[in-house]
Amino acid sequence: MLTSMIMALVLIAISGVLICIGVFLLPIGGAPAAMGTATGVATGAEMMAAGSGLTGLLMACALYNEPAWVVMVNAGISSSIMMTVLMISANVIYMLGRGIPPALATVEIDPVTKENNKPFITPGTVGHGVPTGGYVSGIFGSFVGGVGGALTFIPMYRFSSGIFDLLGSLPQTRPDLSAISLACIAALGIYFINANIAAYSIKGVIEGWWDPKFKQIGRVATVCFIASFLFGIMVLLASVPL
Amino acid sequence: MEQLALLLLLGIFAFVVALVTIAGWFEDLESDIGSQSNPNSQVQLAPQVGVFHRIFNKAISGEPVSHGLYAVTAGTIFTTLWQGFHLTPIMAIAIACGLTTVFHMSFATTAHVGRITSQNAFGQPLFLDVVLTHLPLIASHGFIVTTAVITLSYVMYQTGLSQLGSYLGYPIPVPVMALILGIIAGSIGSSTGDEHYGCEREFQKIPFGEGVPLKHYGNIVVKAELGYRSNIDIVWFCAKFGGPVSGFCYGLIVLFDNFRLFLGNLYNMIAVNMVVGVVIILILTYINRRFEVWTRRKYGPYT
Repeated sequence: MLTSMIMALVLIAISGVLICIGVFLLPIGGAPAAMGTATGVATGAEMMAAGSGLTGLLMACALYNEPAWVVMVNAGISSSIMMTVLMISANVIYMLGRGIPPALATVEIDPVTKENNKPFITPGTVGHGVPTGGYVSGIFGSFVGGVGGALTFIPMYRFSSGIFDLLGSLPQTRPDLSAISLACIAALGIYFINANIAAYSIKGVIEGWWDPKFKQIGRVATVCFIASFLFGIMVLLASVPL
Repeated sequence: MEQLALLLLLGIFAFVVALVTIAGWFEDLESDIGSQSNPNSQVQLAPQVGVFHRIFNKAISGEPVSHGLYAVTAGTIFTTLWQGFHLTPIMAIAIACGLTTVFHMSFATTAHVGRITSQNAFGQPLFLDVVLTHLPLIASHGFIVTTAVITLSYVMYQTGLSQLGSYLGYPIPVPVMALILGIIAGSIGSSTGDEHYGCEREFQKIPFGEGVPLKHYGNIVVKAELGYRSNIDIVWFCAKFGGPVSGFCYGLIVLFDNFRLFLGNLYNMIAVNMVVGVVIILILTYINRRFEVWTRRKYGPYT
């Protein structure tokens, strides 16, 4: 039991780092994007990470008795689907509702399409919409975030329901409901904690992997590792009575 | 698999997608009628730059956690009434959502009154008729969202634990499921519909075709088509575009996700899940790219 507990702790800490990397890759616009003043999706880092990650968590819960790698990849793909549909809906509102073409501001040439963005930016703003570069960055960011959330859900669920095989497939046909609830709440907690830490570093707005703020990822990932490790200790101790 | 079970599953699938579209739609309209979330930062800023308004400044918190809170409250009351008092689920849903709406109203009133009173220092008056006319509307929109989310959680939970659970449905208890669905609903409404409110309606005097430059921050539109602008005018406008797009966004997400899950379970191969997911992502990326190119060609560079 002790080895599985330590392995679960390490997995939870790694999931925190993955969520942090995911937040750095998402095209977060924050409050200014809601007014068309910044590039990205118009909501805060924690909210976007939680929203996309929880969609992946739903898929992880549905596939609770599959091997760990299956759960992680499927949760990541679910999160990516959520972000793709969300970003395209945001673009529909920007382009048809307000008439502004998407444009990046931190670089002149889009890293993915190699097109010039500068002529399309409104003066006085820091870009608007979700251009293709931000779109692709968002797909990778949400995938990594979804994998991270599933990586918390899996050890928490198995440990809480008394199973010490953390990575293989399970023979269960009826899920342990209290264990699923606790694992979902733990995953929710880890999303908010790590997204919050990352949000302080990016100051609420980031465009993607080309943004200068992306260089701080090493330092922030270390902080997220430590914070998630401490969170993992608390949550695993809470799950022992179950 | 026998035909009746397949028909039942397809019916549940359609019902779930319809419910979730309504939840997303009304979630965005509820945040427009109460001015929550990101564009509310401008409503906060307006009195500080000398622009006085008659807008219901209800920013309880960010939308996802706010709707997650109402959903989990309703889910807990629902579970207590359903499992503890043995009421039928429909009655339990109605009573739970009604009680949650009262809870929601207390939050809305204290948030608005508190925020406007704190801006008294800049001269912003507190209009009591704004409070009285908007609260029932906020209540009705919030009630619809909460009812849709709780019904959805209940249907998914029952399906997940029934004989059809190997095909569709999630085995998550109702309160936690409602929390998750409420947070996702808030996240989607905040990311899509709020742009229509913030960019287009709040700054309607800025010409169509440009974003809002920083120098205009705080200078929101306060005069409406007739009289002064209130959230009723705002929600009338946003219900035509922002609300439906948010609803369709949430509906599409749940549709694609459940479609993947259903197909994978039907053919009993996990590879089907993953391949369908990747294909959906690639198609949507391509559509976005065509859309972007079309927009740039149609509107042209900024002049």
